[in-house]
Formats: sequence, structure tokens, C-alpha cells
Amino acid sequence: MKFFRNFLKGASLTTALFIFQACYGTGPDMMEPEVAFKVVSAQDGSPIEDVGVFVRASKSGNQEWSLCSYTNYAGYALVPTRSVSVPEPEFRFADEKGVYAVKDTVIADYYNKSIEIRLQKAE
Amino acid sequence: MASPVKDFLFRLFRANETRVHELNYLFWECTTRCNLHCRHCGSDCMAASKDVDMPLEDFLSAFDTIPRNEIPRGFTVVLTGGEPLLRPDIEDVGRAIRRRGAGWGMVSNGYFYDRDMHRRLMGAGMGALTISLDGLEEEHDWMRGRKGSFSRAVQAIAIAARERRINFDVVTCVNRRNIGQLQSIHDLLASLGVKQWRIFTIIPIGRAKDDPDLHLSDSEFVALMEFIKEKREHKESEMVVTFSCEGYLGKYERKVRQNPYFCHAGINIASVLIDGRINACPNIDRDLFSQGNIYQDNLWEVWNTRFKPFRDRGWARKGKCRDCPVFRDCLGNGMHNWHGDASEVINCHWRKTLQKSL
Repeated sequence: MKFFRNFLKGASLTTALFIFQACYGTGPDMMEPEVAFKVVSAQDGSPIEDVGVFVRASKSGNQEWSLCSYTNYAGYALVPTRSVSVPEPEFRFADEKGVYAVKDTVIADYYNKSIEIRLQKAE
Repeated sequence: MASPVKDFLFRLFRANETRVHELNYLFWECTTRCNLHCRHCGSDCMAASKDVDMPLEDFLSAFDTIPRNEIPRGFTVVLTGGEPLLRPDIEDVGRAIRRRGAGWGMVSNGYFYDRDMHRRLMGAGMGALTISLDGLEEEHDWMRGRKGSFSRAVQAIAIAARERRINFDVVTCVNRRNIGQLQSIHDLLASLGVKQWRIFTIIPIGRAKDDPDLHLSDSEFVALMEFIKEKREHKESEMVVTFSCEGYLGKYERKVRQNPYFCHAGINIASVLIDGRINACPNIDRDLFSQGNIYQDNLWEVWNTRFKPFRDRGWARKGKCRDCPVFRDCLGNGMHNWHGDASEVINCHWRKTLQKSL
């Protein structure tokens, strides 16, 4: 049953079948991961948990930072396609605990990549 | 592909979805406080609700019963109410959901949705938003019970429609007073840059039950179907017009929305209601169909072991559904159309489509 479902879901002609909207609810927040970040300490390379990954358009369009994801215990955060569907997105990495300094960076070549981000300790 | 073959394949798909019943859409009725007094409200919300807002920690305790590896891509928590923007901790709510690997969205009347609120919600990871617009100024304000609510909703729509990083749509409850304005509403939304407009009708529950102005006649309903069908066939703008998945539509299936009718309540959709009850969509009869309570039960266990009335609709073969020729496609219509003692479906969309248009 699950195999049949996964097979259908993977076929491009039938993907839309799985996208629905409750009568009185919003559409789904489709978070297809496209870019994976690994956030580590610049000092010792150890992974940093609970870093918020934000994105905004660096050149045109809306200029609001939008939260995409948080890093997990291994420092990984997956960022969905929708969030980076702007030319040359600018990313912000903000440590919730404030131990590390906020880092903003423009990344042009991100599609299906795994990118390491090194954060410096906050002063 | 011929329609009978498509229908057959879709029934197979639906049966498989029912067996697998992946939870990927969770409503949270996070408040029943509301700044408006809508005539059609199914929740009977009011400014000073008797229910206190459910604490975020209580909801998260329930959510955390769902194993992380059972949260699929696109899992969406939908904040509903009441008016979710009345919660002062709305950003904390959003961040907590994001931190758990799920997306979140919100259904709002738009009254408090200004530029600053938009910035804050984006910063909290909002990924989906629905704002209601129930007519032009006079009709919307009449429906919403507050002067000025139209202009606030239009302002909110203008802000949200420019944001490409959210799945945004506008919903309109069509009733006897605004059905003549559909083209004007269409043009207004298109001019604001809206890409998705969803239309639904009002079921006779809550405050709407005894208000004849709110309920379309059968021929008006057919006129509405024809309007949506025409808009989908001859696109006048980038905006896609859709009828909500509120019921089975017979000959209008596939003509007024992308996918055939499928009530996902209890199959992919659950809800945590204001008092902790576990149900499917919040507009489904709470006394009749609630499956447990987060204050006594484990949400994930309830999802996996209960919800039988949602997954086996054989019980709905009664009243006018007993010998209905379309039952195998309709399965007794949307679950929200069964209330009270559930002796009879209160709303049959299919029968309405058999009428002639105005």
C-alpha cells in the first residue's frame, strides 16, 4: 500500500493528486528541500544546533527575511525550494542562543547542494 | 482517458490513501476569540470567548507524540480560530512548529494583517495563508459584522499577494447577497495580484443555521458552478478560481477544481480543538465525531487506532444517501455535512447540480 503510494507520488503526472486543501483551511506549506546547510563553529568545526536559517531576495522582490528552518543537533538544516525561488537569495544564519554572531551571505549556486557555513563566536 | 476509467482509478487511489492514512495536515484551533462577528461563523466565536486560548505548550505536547520520521514533507499545521492573530505569542507558535520540521499556515480575517505583522510572520516561518473576502465593501462588512473590515482585508490581501514565498489564497463564502458580485470580486482580486481564489458555500451550522440570506438556492448554486467553470475554461487573468472540496459535484467534478472530490478529513487531516478534543476538520460535529482529547489521550495513538467513521463511510448509507446512485464516489459528502444525530446528510451538493441554472 505504501509502496503503491510512494510510486504514484513520485510520478510527475500524479503528484498533484496528493496536494489538497481542507475545505476551510490554507493550502499546504510545501517544503520540498533543495539546499542543505551544515552550520559549524569556525573555531573547532563542531556542529551548532538551533541556528535559524532565514532567506530574502538580495536584489529584487520582497525584502523581508523569512524563516525557513532550524539546524538540528548535527548542525544540518534543509531549506525548501519555495524559500529560495528568487535570484541570488541572501541567507541569514542566526544562533538562537546568541553564542555565535549572525552571518548574512548571498549564495548564487545552491541548487541541490550541501553547503557548509562557519560561524564566528559573538564578541 | 475516458471518464469511467479515470473515476475507477481515482477510487483505487482514494481507497489506498484511506488505508495508508498519512497524517499531513493538522488544524489547531488556537483561540476562539475573534475581533469580528461573522454571520456565517461555524464556531460561534466572539470577542470574549468562554474558552481560554490553549497554551502553546499543551499543543506542542500533543504534537510531539508524532514521531519525527512520521512528519512528511509538506506537513502543515494550520492555525485557525477565532482569529489567530489575537494570540500574542503567534510568532513563538510559528517558530516552535518550524523547529519540529513542519510547516505552518493560518486562516485569518486579515483585520490585523499589516506590513509589520507580515514581516513578523515571515520571520516566524509562515508558509501558507488564507484571507477571507466575502464581497465588495457593503456585503463584506455586513457579513463580517464590522464596518471597515473590508478595507482591512483588502490591505492584507495586497500585502500577502506580493509575497512569493507563501502559498496564499483568498476565500469567499458565496451567499445570496454577494452572488451577483462575483465578477467584480474576481476583477478586484486579480487587480491586487492574487493568484488563487477559492470559493465555498455556507453549511447551515453555528450562527449560519437560521439565516436565509446565507444559503444559495439550488439554481443559484448551479449558476455559481457555471461561473467557476467558465473562469477556469477562459482564463482572464493569472488567477486560478477553484471551488472548495466541500462536497461531491457530479457533472461539475474536474471542471471547477483540479482534483476530483475527496474528503480528506480523518484520512490526512486531524485537528486539535480549543478544549483539547481531537477531531478532523474543526467544522465537523464535535460531539458526534471527536475521537479523543489531548489532555487524556496520545494524539498519535488516536490517529492510528481510531477515526474509523472517517475511514469507513458505510454508516453514511442512510436517509437520502441510502439508495443514491453516486454514493461510491460521494461516500455521503463531506464529513462536515453530518450533524446532530447524523440521521441525514444536511447538504447534498450533487442534488443541487441537477437543477437548472438561473
